[in-house]
Amino acid sequence: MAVGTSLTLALLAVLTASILHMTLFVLAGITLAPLRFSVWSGLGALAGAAVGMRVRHFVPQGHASKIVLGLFLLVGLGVLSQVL
Amino acid sequence: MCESCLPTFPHLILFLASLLFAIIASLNRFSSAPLLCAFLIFIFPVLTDIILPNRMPILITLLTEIPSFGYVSWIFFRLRLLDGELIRRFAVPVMLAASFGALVAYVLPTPLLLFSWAILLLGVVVAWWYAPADPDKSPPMFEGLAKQVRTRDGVTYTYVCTRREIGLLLGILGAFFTGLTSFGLGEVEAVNWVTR
Repeated sequence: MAVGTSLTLALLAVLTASILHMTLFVLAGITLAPLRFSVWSGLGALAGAAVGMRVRHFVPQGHASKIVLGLFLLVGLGVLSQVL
Repeated sequence: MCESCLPTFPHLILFLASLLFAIIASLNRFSSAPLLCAFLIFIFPVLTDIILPNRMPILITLLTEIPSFGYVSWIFFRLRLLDGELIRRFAVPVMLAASFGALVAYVLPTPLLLFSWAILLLGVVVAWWYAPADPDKSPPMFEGLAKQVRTRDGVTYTYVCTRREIGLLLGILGAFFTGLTSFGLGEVEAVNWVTR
């Protein structure tokens, strides 16, 4: 319930933000050619979501979350170290 | 089959990375957008010698989220596990906030944008680290109204929906960060509702 509702709201936000980002790119004269990559990443995401939704009941949620939090921590600290 | 339609090495790399991140995301309560965006900024150029223009990784990540979010939302919709009233109430503010976030992304200098991206990510880590391991068996993080929803297969779920002001504030904040950095709404808003 909570996941579905916030996911649908996130979908609305993502759609709106994508359209605005693309408009700003076009207005700034930046080529949209790299967006072809998003076709392949989109296909990968769709396949991954389909696989994940089928196996999620077999994986304890707490463990998966902790692993991803660890990855987020690494990425966040890595980006901070690049910026500072 | 046209030659330009065939995937090249960078396409395959991106397909596999995205597949892996989407599986990881489906197994927990987070979106994999931060992982994909960081991959596009830091690892993708090293593997393929392709450096994407400024803000392009954010846009590619946003576009990547559309099919996976759409697919999973469709599953929840078919199970009748969406709160239509909440979605209707929050849709316009959420879309406005996401638009504002996208506009701010173009105004902020790149280092500042990356800095806010990393701070948001670390904020998510801290918030979720202290969140209950199993939210379905823990008291809600905020006081609110108990609501019920009956699924297509007859199961009734009760969940706590926070007061309108808190929910709206979290939704707007999350949507703003989604427009700014490509992730945020799912992470911020998910603390809002607890299913039982």
